[in-house]
Amino acid sequence: MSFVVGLAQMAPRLADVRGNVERHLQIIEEASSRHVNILLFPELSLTGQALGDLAVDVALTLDSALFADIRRSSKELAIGIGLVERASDRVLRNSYLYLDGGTIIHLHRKLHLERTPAGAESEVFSPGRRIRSFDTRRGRFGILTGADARHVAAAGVLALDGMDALILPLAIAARPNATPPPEEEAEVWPRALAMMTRSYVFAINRVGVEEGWTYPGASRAYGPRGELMAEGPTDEDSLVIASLDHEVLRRARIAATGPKDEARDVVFREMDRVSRES
Amino acid sequence: MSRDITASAHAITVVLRSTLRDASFRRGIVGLSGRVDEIVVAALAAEALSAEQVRLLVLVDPEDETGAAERARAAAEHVGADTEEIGLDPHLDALLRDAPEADPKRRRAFLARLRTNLLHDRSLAHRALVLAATSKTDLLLGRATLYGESAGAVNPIGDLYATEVVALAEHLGIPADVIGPPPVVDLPARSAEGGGFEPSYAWIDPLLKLLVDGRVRRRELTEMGYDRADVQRVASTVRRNRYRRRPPVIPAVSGRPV
Repeated sequence: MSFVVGLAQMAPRLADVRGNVERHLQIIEEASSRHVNILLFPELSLTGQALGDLAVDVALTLDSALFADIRRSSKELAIGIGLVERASDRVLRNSYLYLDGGTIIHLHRKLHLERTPAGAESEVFSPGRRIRSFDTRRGRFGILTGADARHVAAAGVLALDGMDALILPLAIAARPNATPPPEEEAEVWPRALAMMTRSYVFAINRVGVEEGWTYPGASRAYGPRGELMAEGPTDEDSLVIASLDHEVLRRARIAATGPKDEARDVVFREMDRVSRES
Repeated sequence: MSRDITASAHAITVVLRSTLRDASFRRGIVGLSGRVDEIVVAALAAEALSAEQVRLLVLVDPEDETGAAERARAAAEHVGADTEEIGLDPHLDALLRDAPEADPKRRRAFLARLRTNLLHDRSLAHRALVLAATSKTDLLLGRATLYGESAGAVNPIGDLYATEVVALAEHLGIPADVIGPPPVVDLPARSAEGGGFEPSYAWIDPLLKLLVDGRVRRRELTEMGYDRADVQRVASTVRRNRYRRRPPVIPAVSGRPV
């Protein structure tokens, strides 16, 4: 079983949900024509990042008609999108949906909130409370949004939960003068996650500019040995094409140590102890 | 270092293009008074927008004796954009007529705001967005006149230290005589014994980088060889000038302040 995966490297227009839905539909059409089976958009792809108190204006319920066309398109191919979820009257979340067959298969709510050009996400969003791998027609997947993926234990949970591929919707801004530059780090840690979890890793980074922050793109897909399979350009919209091959996955997992060999009973017992003692 | 500079220059041009597009402008306008900061901003604007979309205004202090006028004119020629030169004497005369007691500090601030005034006037005439030109060093130390050098819709070099701006100028191929001599920073003397404190940018930038970017504690800085009083003076200057780096403070009284 092998599938074509598309990384939709694009620039969401800030707080313009309708415009962004249109852009998503265009990219979905292009992906269809290129035989993509799983199309993944970046973090908050329907809204952009620098929302501040605009978040409440662009928040959507999960049954919102505003993205019904995207949901319908997922009858053709599976689609991952990022949005501001109105979980209740008072609670907004930075959420990522995996859509397939016209319905929501999985919802990941970002747990580790970070800084945006408009201030701290924690002032706007409530953090998620679940990390779970989920079954799809094309394999068992896990999602970690933005800073979630910088917490090695979170990826560890998904690996032990049996994921085949890790989906990383990102909005990493370039800081060439920082020590170390986050865009350089992003060349390393998704690859390390692929190696450590023996899973495919699809890191979809946005492009564009918000409030002086530049998002360079350079989305990347790694195979389960950490091999770079595809890489998007810098600063340009692009549909980056990669693949997910369960035979490659099987061979990579037989050949090398990974989550299948984990001393689970010890890990769980020690995690439990750390939890009790912290 | 050169990779950082190339990548920074690239990020700056991307932001410049995008900011102008979002504000529905095609042109940018930069004032030249002989400072390297302005020359670099003008060169970056030409790279981001093309020289045809950049307007330059030469606005030099009439009493300058450091060759600022020559540097500004040479910079304009180097960038190759449409340039207008405006003499500032009549405006300065007006100030000194009304306020003959104005000391050099007031005079400098008046000139800085006068330049901004003229830039914004020509911005309307040419439908060009005003680009400010103040380094991170000057922003941190409060050396940029409020509504003077730091006024504008974008400050492309606001996250580069002064020495990095000079390195960027060299990287962009701006000739050394156009860049001019390295300036010094005059910090207010705060110790009882007084005395001037005029460190160079080459001295102060690494300290600011440790203090601001690296969040290194003051005790560690003295262990690294920095003088305790110097560190204290720099840190308090940075803290005291915070208000100059922020939009005007608005007392929050409603449920949703702007």
